[in-house]
Amino acid sequence: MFDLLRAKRGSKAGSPRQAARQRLQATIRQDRLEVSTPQLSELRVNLLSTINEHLPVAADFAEFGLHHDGEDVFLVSRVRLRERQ
Amino acid sequence: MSGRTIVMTSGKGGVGKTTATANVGTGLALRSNRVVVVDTDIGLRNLDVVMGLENRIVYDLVDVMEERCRIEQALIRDKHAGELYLIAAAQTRDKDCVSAEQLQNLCRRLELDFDYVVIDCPAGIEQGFRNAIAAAREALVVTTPEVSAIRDADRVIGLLHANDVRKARVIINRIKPEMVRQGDMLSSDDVLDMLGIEAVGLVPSDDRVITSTNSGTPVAYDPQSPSGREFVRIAARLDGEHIPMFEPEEERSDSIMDKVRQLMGMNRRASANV
Repeated sequence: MFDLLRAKRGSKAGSPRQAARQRLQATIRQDRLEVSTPQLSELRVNLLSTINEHLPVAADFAEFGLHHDGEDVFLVSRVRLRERQ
Repeated sequence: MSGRTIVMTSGKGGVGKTTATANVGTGLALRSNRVVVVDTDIGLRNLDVVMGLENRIVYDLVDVMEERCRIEQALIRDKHAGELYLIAAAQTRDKDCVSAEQLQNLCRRLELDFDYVVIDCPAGIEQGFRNAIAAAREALVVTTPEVSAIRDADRVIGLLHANDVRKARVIINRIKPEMVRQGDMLSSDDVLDMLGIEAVGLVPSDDRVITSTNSGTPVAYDPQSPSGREFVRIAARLDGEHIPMFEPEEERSDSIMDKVRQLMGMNRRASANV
């Protein structure tokens, strides 16, 4: 009974163990992608340039980052567009 | 005869790699294998101290590489196990004075005379690490159930695979079962899920490791030591014996409830340790 209670506590969300699991999963997935900061910067420039060929981009506001959702890692970008003149 | 060369590595320092090397080597020798442990942590040697052989060093690894002595002259016989030998690292040189090719050649020669060549690899992933893994055909990655150690272990596993060391297994060291049960520490299953490789040993945290290092006698010689017993089991698993893996149990607990359980004959430890 004591062990069941302890096991329940150990697996509950918000425990240090669960926090460590989540942080490690995110960190390891990102490490395994082997994406460096210079690579991300270069990607940012290239993506903005490509988008700008189709839509007018306000280059002063563009966010790029890697986000984790469950098992997957997503490249998420948020780019402000400007009105065509 | 051709022996097996196994590198003990970790990425992060301070996870117990040298202690694990001394104890796995001892465990293998206790099973009547002829074993040599090679300290490749040049400039920061410690394996000699953990094994209690620091006063017996005449020649070291660099002396062998630079042909100032024969291999046999650099082999230091262990005080306890019959067929366990150490080649110590040089303390006054740096890691770059040995090349990967030199270390590979040495290991191929040692494999002719020994059943196991166990390499203690320096921490980090620089040249010393690259030299050590180039010489090995198998790897044991030592980690602790902590975020930083596991992250580094994952990086090392990637580098081992990239360098064709395909047979890599993990030793999870310093597990505190009570903390795992209370949700304060990652379990061995958590660690293995992340790393995606097989475990060869789950070693409990054990104060006897400190006293054994102080005396220069590896815990593998101590049947009362829970970590020592697990190192002996690791050696048996490496030798091909099938010994089931299980989460370590508490060796000693001072909590009131544990004392009550012991009084009532409900002590879980009694049936847990092989």
